[in-house]
This record gives sequence, structure tokens and C-alpha cells, in this order.
Amino acid sequence: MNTDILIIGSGPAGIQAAIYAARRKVDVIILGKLENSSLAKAHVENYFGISGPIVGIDLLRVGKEQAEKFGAKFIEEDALHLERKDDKFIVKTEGGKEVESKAVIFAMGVSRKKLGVKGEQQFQGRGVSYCAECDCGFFKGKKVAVIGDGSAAASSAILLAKYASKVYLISKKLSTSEHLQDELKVGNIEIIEGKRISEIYGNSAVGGIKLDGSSLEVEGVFIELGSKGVIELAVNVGLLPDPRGYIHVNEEQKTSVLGIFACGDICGPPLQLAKAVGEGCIAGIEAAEYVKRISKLEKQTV
Amino acid sequence: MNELEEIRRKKMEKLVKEIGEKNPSAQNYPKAPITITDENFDQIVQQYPLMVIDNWAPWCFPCRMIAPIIEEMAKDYAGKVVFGKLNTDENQRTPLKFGVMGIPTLLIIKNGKEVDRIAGAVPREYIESKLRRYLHE
Ligand SMILES: Cc1cc2nc3c(=O)[nH]c(=O)nc-3n(C[C@H](O)[C@H](O)[C@H](O)COP(=O)(O)OP(=O)(O)OC[C@H]3O[C@@H](n4cnc5c(N)ncnc54)[C@H](O)[C@@H]3O)c2cc1C
Repeated sequence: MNTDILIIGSGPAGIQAAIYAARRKVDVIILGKLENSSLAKAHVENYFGISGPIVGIDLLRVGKEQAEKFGAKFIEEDALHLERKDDKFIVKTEGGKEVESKAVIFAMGVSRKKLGVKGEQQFQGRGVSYCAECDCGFFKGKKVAVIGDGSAAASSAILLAKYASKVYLISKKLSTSEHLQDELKVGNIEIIEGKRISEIYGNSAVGGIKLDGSSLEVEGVFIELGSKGVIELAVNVGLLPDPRGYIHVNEEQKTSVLGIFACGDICGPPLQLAKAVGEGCIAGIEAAEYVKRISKLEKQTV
Repeated sequence: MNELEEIRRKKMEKLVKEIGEKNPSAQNYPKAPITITDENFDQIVQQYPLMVIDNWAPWCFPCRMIAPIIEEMAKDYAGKVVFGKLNTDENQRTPLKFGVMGIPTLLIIKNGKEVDRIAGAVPREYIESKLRRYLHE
């Protein structure tokens, strides 16, 4: 699939960017799941023009319809991998799709990465990990657990199965693409659904986890909530988030990498709807202008 | 930078200067992170009284987020703290000995012994807040 602008994230920032870009007659594809937006669970009272509390998911649905009306295409899947090929960007989705794009807008928001259970902090770096790609090598031949419900957990389990002797994928309810579900059918991956982790225990390092009262012995616990985050997607194309995980942009919402824009919570505080749509507006306009400029230059130089 | 960070930075500069005056041999300490390997580890941690060793690997994304902080701090703390970088891909014995099971991990080593560690990519202020007490001691 080919497009002019690819937007990763369908929260208010991404959808607003899609609306502005699509109205400028460039092709727009937007990835992500509305229900995973921070706004989906919010009751908003401090946004211009809205006085009574309004349910966030309703705003998102209306926004999606608006963007579609102007021609933006929605793919309700997570991005798993982003890379650069010549002067284009290629994204791989959890459904196995590949989208090639001239410009990318990051609008992934911020999401909870910590579980908040006993032992999690104590054992970080001693068996508890938030990055399967980084730490898989330390768990060769060992038993590990992966915690999470979405595409990040599923793809991490698939990676870890190549190193660990056994991978338990523990989720309340796994919600990911069929493509990933198929890849999870590996001999040493066991899916445990519907159980809640209440504690990570051990002495000097992780010894196991408590699941609804019963114990499961593992040496590694990989916490992979939600979708692949900004770090995993950004660093591959040469974009370095600050240590808080935020992406720095200039007043045109441009990042330090040519062709990549960012908007919304991902750019840092205030983590508010009004700021997200404001930045989305600028990112959408600037990305569209950028794509038109390079298309014109390409034509001139043949 | 906010006001609090600015005040902390000034205090730290003063402290660093005082220690430097007390220990003139520290003038020759490296101003950039030095490469630590399984082979040179023991010798190097004996040589410098206070060290921060960054366990990292090239393919680790969060490691790349703190790499510039380590570079910066090596310069700012030159003479007081020596920073080292240990590639866990090429050197597996030392991480194993210390029970490092994730990267990035910063080991704070005082007089050859681990006194503290920091796991994961964290802001500079957090590393400084941990280091402060070992500088004072
Ligand atoms: C409980 C709660 C209450 C709030 N109340 C208010 C309020 O009253 N007023 C206010 O102004 N703000 C409020 N906020 C904040 C507001 O919701 C956020 O500032 C806003 O949603 C940010 O928009 P965003 O588009 O940047 O990110 P988000 O809305 O978080 O959207 C991010 C999108 O990116 C997608 N995504 C993430 N990773 C990937 C990936 N790898 N591939 C594809 N897609 C991906 C997600 O699925 C989601 O669709 C509240 C937030 C919460 C959690």
C-alpha cells in the first residue's frame, strides 16, 4: 500500500491531523484503535465549546467520520515496526500489512507502561523488563512470562520464544490481529487468559509471579502493555525521544528527522485534548505542504 | 531547565570543585566514558574510587536514550566520577557476575564494590540524585 502521509495513532491529535491533511488533497492513511486513545475513557469538561461532561469515545467517533468524509483511510491496527527505505518510510502492521509513505506523523499518545504490582520496581533490571528486544538475550533457556493484552505483548512473546525455554503469555483478554494470533502458535508459548497478576516475587532476582493466588515459577517478567510505543518505532528511523519518552518538535511540529512530524501527548505536557488537536492541526498542514513540495521537486528533477 | 534543577546544578558544581581541590590526582581522570571489558574490569574499578558503569548494547533502544547523558556527565563530573561503558553483547561474564538481567543498567561502584544500581533509561536528575550521596561520603 502507498500513501502520501501515514499517521500513527488515531486519538484526537492524529484524527485532527488527518482532517487537515486530507482537506489539502493528499492521500492519508491513519493507523490505530479509537478505543485505545486516552480520550476514550475521559469525561471532558474543559474543552472549548463543551460545557457539560461529554464522553470521549463519542468525540472520537465523530472525528473519525469527519476525517473519512474528507478522504482519510482508517486501518484499525497497531504499527509494529517502522523503517526507512530511501526517501520513504515503511510501516508494518500487526495484521501483516505494509504501508509505504512519504511522510509520517507520530500521534501515539502516552500510555501506561507500568503494571503497579508488588515487586515490579524492586526487580526492574533483575528479571523485570519493559523491553523484550533489549533483554531477550539474558533469558536464553529460561522460563519467562509476558504480561499484556495487545500487539506489544503478542509480538514480544513471539520474539522471546526464540530464546526462552518457555513463554507464558498472561493477559486478561488477548486482543490482537489474527496474523499475530497465528504466529503465537509455537510449541513453547502458552497463553494464560483471564488471570490477574498480583505480585512478582523473588530474592535477589525474580523467582516467579502470583496469579490469582497460585504461583508460577519464572525468571523473567516482560511487561508489554498496549501497543509498541514511541521508543521502539522512533529509534529505528533515527529519532531519539528524551529520557521521559517525549519527542521534541519545532513550532511546525517537525521532528529532527526530515519527513517525520509529531503531535499530541507524545510531544509532552500539558497532556490535554486542546493541545493535542492544536498540534494535530499544525502537523496535518505542515505534513501536507511538505509532501506537495517534495512531489513537485521530484517532478522537476526527472 | 526549571529553577530547582538550576539550584541543584549549582550546588553540584560547588561540591565537585571542593572534591577536586582535596584530591589533586583526580585532575588526570578521564573526561569521557572509558570502555570496560570482562578483561579490564577488575583493574579499572580498583583504579578509580567512584565509578558509574553503563551496561549497554548496540540494538537496545533505551540504551541509546541515555548514552548522551552519560557522555555529558562524564565531562561535567570529570575528576570526581569516572564513567565506563560495558557492551553486554561482547562481555557476558561481568553482567552475569553482577546479576545484570536487563539493559540499560548503571552500576555505581565505590572502591571496587557495587553500592547502587539504576535499571532502565532515566533522566539525568535521577542519576545525579543517586550519585550525590556517594560524592558526599
Ligand atoms: C482518564 C482521563 C481523563 C482525561 N480527561 C481530560 C479532560 O477532561 N480534558 C482534557 O483536555 N484532556 C483529558 N485527558 C487527556 C486527553 O485524553 C489526552 O491529552 C489526549 O487524548 C491526547 O491525544 P493524543 O491523540 O495525543 O493521544 P491518545 O488520545 O492517547 O491517542 C493515541 C492513539 O495512538 C494509538 N497508538 C498507540 N500506539 C500505536 C501503535 N504502535 N500503532 C498504531 N496506533 C498506536 C492509540 O491506539 C490511540 O488511538 C484525559 C485523559 C485520561 C486518561
